[in-house]
Amino acid sequence: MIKIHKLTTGYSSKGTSKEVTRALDFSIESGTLVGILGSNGIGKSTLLKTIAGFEKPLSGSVQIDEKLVHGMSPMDRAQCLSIVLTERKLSGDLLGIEVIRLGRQPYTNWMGSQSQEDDQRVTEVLTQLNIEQLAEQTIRTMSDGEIQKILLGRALAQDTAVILLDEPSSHLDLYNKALLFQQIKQAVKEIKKRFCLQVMTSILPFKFVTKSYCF
Amino acid sequence: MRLNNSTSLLILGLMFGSFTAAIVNLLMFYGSKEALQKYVFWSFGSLGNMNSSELKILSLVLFIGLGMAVLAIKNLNSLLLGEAYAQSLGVSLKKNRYLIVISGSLLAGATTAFVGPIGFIGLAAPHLIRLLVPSTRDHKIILPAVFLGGALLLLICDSIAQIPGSASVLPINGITSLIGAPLIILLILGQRK
Repeated sequence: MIKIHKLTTGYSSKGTSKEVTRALDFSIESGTLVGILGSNGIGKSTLLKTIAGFEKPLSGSVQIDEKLVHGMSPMDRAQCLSIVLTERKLSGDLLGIEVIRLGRQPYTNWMGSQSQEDDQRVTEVLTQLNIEQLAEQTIRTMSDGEIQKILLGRALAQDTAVILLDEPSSHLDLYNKALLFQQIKQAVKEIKKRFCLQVMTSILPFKFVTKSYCF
Repeated sequence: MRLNNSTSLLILGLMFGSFTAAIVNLLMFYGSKEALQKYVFWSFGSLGNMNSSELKILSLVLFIGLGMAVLAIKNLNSLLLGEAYAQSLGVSLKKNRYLIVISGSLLAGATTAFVGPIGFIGLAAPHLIRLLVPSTRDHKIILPAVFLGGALLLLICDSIAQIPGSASVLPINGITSLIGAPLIILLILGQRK
């Protein structure tokens, strides 16, 4: 369960702070897919970044299973939160399977060597999303939709309680949007413990989410 | 401190370079004739001017620098996805930046102090190795490969500088630049396609 308590998000530097969203209070049960809807610039992505631990909250707290997100070590956080972002700065030389394998990094030793269990999880994700044919392709040669699937696969391979998605469908056409949301919904259903929080700007995903918050 | 784009990093590097060059110029102005001559010979670069106690110090510093680079392998792999994803995979960006900068400074600084400013090896070796080992992006393989490949490249350049069958020795810095500069130009032109 994710609990957001009087959370005020925003940016502060050199003593001045700019509030983006104010005193949010809500909690999300496990096994649900939650959408956050609102117009541009209203603070959806900032909220997501704050929940992910990238930004510090101006006040209030975020808890996942009774643990404070902003009090965890980066490694602990990586084992309970994964993310799919709109920005894509990943190296174009990477193969699809390499990107998904990197999702296992929080569970590997100091060298990043992967165990058989890690390999198995990666294969599972490839089958689950039906992207085996992308495994040996480089990111550079993939379409936007294909990259998006790989990035979703990477987040699934990270095996976290929470998956945060920042406008996962923004690069996709209508058919692929529907397909992607179907797959996300399926992934949430298959493992009951997990839940997803996603930011969305189009109305289509309404059909797929269990609950949505509008700003 | 963080810089978000590589242009400001580049400009910062150039400024830092000209700042230190100015200090060197001032020191040269006040330096003795003998010291100046020594400096000029050092700036040609040479693998032969080291005694065994210097070699010990150099090996120790290189060992520490390499150890730190090995510790950064996992983080470097995560960073292939970009900083935000690396952070979400448990990389502490700040700590990692210190680790890489200190490791790089130790390796480059110690080597330059003892063998002189031999150019282009550091720039050409990683690119060459990535071209020669195209099947992996894993730093577990890239790092030792670059380490050994760079050493090999330097030894080849040194062998050429010794001019086999002749007593005279060319400055190694000239040889590495003659080979390195066209190589990097070729690489950049190749990348554009």
